[in-house]
Amino acid sequence: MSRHPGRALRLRRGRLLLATALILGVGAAGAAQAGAQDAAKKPAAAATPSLPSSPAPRGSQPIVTRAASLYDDSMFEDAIRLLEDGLKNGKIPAADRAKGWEILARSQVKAGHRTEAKDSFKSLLLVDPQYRPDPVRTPPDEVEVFTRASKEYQQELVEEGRRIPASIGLQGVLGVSSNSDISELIEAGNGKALNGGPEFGGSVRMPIRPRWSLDIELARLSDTGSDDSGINYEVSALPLAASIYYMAWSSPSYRINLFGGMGPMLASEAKFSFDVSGVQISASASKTGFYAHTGVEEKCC
Amino acid sequence: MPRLALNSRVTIRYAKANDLDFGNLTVNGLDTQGRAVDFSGPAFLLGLRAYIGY
Repeated sequence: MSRHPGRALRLRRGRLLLATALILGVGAAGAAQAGAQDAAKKPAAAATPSLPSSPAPRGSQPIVTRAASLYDDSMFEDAIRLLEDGLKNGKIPAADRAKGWEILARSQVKAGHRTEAKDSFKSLLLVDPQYRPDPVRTPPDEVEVFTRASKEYQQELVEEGRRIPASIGLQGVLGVSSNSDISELIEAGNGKALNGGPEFGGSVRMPIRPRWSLDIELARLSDTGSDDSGINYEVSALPLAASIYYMAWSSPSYRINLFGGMGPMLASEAKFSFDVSGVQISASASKTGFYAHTGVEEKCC
Repeated sequence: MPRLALNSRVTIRYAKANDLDFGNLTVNGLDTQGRAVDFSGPAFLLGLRAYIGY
């Protein structure tokens, strides 16, 4: 219900006069005068839905514009009825639907229908996932309901598998790599070439958009070998990769991601060591290299 | 309470650091100067993830 019944009565009277004038063909001058009177009665509210004003009579304006005017006039129930009818029956064009859901939700908050308002904010987020209320212009009661709706919306996305929550991971890796430059030295001493080995690492992953995540991963790669002359070989590296993950397919218990990323390969080191009369002698060199990877990941259980 | 999940990954990677400087060291009669650390190749990962962003 309107909080200003007197004003509402004046507005309705003004609209009736306006409609009569149009039917009688009085013309644009009369309509403009009525429109000006109508506008003069509106309060300059900071919380206005901020639609551009139009010189057209309210009856011929888009539904969303009329609803915004009703909101400004504190005629929240009228705005709700108008928008519910427009949104349910497809009377609001696609370009205006996000604004329609916004004004509907805000009107429902003001009218005390907070549960319905929360659902309307969720519908708004479905149409426009990037929507956030202006914290300066939007009243706190409306921001509060939106915040609740947003949390529930995000949770529902997670449950439906359309949003990947933040995560941390530990992993063991079995890599296959030849390290051919070092393997050549080992084979020259009749040793067995390097062929990769167990590795380990960890990562932190954050959602950046529905289906998309950013992953920062640090791993430890290493391999060891020896030859017949008693030389021990060790190669190691610490790749630090930033990767983008795309959720290609998901169900409640199963998910397939595609990913690609790159970064520096820190502390890339090769080390030779051997024993001379009980004294360990070693030589090593290290450098920062380049790391890039791509592949498929599956998550289950 | 974080939710846990098992994950596995098949990846192709390029992981190389070129031109390591060992000075004039020779090993088994071969020059070591300018050799590379190269972990490039396929890799298979098994891991455990804890989802914390609920």
